[in-house]
Amino acid sequence: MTASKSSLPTESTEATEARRVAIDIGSTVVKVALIDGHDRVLSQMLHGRDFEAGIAKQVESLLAPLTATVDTDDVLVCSSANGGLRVGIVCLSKHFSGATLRNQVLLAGANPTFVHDMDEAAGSLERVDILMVGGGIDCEDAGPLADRLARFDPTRYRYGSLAFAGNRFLAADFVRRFPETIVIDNPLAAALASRNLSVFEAVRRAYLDDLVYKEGVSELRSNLSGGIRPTPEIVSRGFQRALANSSGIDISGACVVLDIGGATTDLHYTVEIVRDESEAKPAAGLSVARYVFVDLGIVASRDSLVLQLRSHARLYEFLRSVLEGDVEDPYRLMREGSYEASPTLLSYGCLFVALDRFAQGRGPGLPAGDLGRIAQIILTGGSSQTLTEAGAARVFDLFRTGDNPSPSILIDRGYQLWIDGITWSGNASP
Amino acid sequence: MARPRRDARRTALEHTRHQVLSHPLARGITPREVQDYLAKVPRRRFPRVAYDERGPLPCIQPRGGVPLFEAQHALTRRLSEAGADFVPLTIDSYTRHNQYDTATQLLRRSEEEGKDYLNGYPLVSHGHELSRELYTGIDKPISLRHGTPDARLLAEVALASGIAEIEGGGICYCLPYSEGFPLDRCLLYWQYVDRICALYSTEDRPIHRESFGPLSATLVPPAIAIAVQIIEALLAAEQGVVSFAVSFGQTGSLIQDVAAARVLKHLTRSYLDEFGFETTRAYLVYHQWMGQFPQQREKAAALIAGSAMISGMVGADKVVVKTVDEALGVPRPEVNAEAVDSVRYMLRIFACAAPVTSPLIDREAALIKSEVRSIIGAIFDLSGDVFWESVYRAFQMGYLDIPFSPHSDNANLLVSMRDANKSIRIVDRGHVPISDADAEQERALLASVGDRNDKTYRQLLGDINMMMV
Repeated sequence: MTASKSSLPTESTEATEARRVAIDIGSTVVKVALIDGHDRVLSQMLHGRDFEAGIAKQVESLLAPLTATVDTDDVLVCSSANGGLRVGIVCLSKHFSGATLRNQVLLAGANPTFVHDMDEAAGSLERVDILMVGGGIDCEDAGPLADRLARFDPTRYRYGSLAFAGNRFLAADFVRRFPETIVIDNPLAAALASRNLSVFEAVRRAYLDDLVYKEGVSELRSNLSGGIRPTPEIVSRGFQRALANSSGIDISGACVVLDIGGATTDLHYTVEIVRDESEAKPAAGLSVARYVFVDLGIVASRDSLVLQLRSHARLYEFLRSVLEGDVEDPYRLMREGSYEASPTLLSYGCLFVALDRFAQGRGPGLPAGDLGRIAQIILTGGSSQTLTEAGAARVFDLFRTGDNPSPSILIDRGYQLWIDGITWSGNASP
Repeated sequence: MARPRRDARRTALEHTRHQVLSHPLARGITPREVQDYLAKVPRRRFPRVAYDERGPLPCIQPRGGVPLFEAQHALTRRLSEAGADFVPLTIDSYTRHNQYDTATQLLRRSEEEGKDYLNGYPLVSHGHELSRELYTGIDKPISLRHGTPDARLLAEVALASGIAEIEGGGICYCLPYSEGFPLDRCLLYWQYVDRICALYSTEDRPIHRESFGPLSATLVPPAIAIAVQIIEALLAAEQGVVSFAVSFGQTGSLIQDVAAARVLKHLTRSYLDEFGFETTRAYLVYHQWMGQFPQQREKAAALIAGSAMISGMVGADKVVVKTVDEALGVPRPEVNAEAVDSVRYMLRIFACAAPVTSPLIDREAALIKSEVRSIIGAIFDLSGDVFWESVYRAFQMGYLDIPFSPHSDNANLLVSMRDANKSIRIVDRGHVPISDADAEQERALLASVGDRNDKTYRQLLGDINMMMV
């Protein structure tokens, strides 16, 4: 194990000032940060995952030298290992129950694979960890929903667990038909807006169970393994903390965060960016929303990213904005599929394609964003670290229209958003 | 428990302000130049000065905004000459929704075709330099009326134009006007507006803020409107605002109007003092009937005259007037001027030396006061670090619930109807934390109406349209 990145003072200074340790277990890297009493990073190190020893042993060995100064209650752990849970949603209406379920699933750090309404005859062959069925508000008089639920056939789907999160008065009937069903409180309760975090909490718990089962986290001390949270949820919390003006990151208006990683690019955005005429909308009552581009990343999703770039109508403009000198050759080679793009170029590529798709609402359930409303862009995640503010601004300029000013660009080089999220005890919105 | 406090004031605003002012339509506004400009405009442009000099009658303010500069200039002159004490500048809907490009395009089209394609004055599109010329020679306060959840750029341009009264707030310009604009962000954006108003204020020239009390203007119980007004006054005071007007809309019940005004004035002062904002002066604004207006001009004129008289009886510092064309569309300048004239006539003829009182009014005031204290006390008791966050959570929990608000953060569980006096009663309090005793009293007062104690759709519709008979 080698530390690939280290910053800040000496061991002894760290030891006296560190109040908490934050650990992010990724698919390939474990990040450890020492945090002071004001939620500032004293130092952080990246360690390659030790697959031979396993997560538990590796984390324990990383913690060993620190336990003398930091109580284990002050060790905070999150993980993006295992790629996150895949959740399929079958709902009464995509605009209300579907949007609410999708958003809570996303905010809990999982990936909604599809959102179908109950009359979707074809189902889906894509395997999901959880198939979540929901719809309606809690009321006894729900004949139409009962009829549609009666026609629901789970054999059209491939799933690990079946969950029901709809009108609670219909839950008993549903369980009678499908006894293995896990019943979750209806997040809509008695209103057409998200009123509780039932699905969010359930998915988080399921994620943890899944992680423990698949990644061997159960060998960690129980007070650590029990509190592991999904990394995307942590980033979302960090974003919300910044928006609430209680973080070192200053937010100046409508904002997007792009967390560019190896496998996915996560988009977190303030909902006022969504166009009024957008067909897809975030769930009612949300202040921030998240979307996962599962096919944009610079390692695991490299091929799909390159495929999207090489066939993109504005590839030439994109290359001109991020490469120095003559781009004729790179352009030609990329179109031909033989260009060896650097990780930095690929990271810019994630930014470019993500913004383009957000502007057009191109993606299942992705609302169309008015990029002219964006006042600020924050780029975080491992793959953002090599980008520059000027480079990102040039990419954004490709989407500017009218008199709209350029957004300010912040590259979160110290992973402050992650620290803010993992240490925040404040209230995040549902 | 998060209480309003001075140290909640926003510091380090520079980054955000730089971002807001970097918009091309800010046209190079610099705070220093604006500060200098505001020091030079007539002192009576500042509402505190106008209020202090007003005499026994309420100030009168009409409404008005048209897209073209020349037409707005003429309207401003016309209203001022007609005797308006405050001159309005009503903003178009696109600007209100931060769609400045669209507003600018439609302004150009209006200019080319000589036809109004906007329903108000696109201040941001016109810019501060031109808009300053609207008010050359005017020594009355100009009031910015809009309905904008994110009014940061608009407020910057307004202040740079010499406008010293900014209406709005994080609640009153979000819940009644927007379905989905995030309330938490709206509260924060209005902190910015409050803060820059405070930064531009000097001791004898304070920038004035005013809240919009009518809210959805549809069966809003006085306790809810008053709680929102007090909260917005406290949020503004936290940011350093020292001149603030709370307001409410004509309820439809004379008893409730007088009682609401009494409680609103008393509690606003009381809470400001309790949290150390003794230097913040509070004023009372009364809005003439904000619900559906009669189409017949005679009935509309009678309603305007009646509510003008009530504005005097409740001891308002300012009355915001309607016109006989209210039900028909944007009023013509001459109709607006007539309204100012008739309201002034009514105020003069029926001048009220002291606020009206009666046992019924006392009982109503005691009930409203108790309800407001319960609501605000429950919000103060919410866990959290900062007051604005408690306010945000209060909506999510249904502690604050505005009837007929389209906003997704509004619980919409509170149900209200009118009793025999036409007073607005809380039929179902939802999650609003008023006491059992107060809730029972509300129901008892409603039950005294006899056949109006059930809540049917038709009755509700009748209550909403009560001025249409």
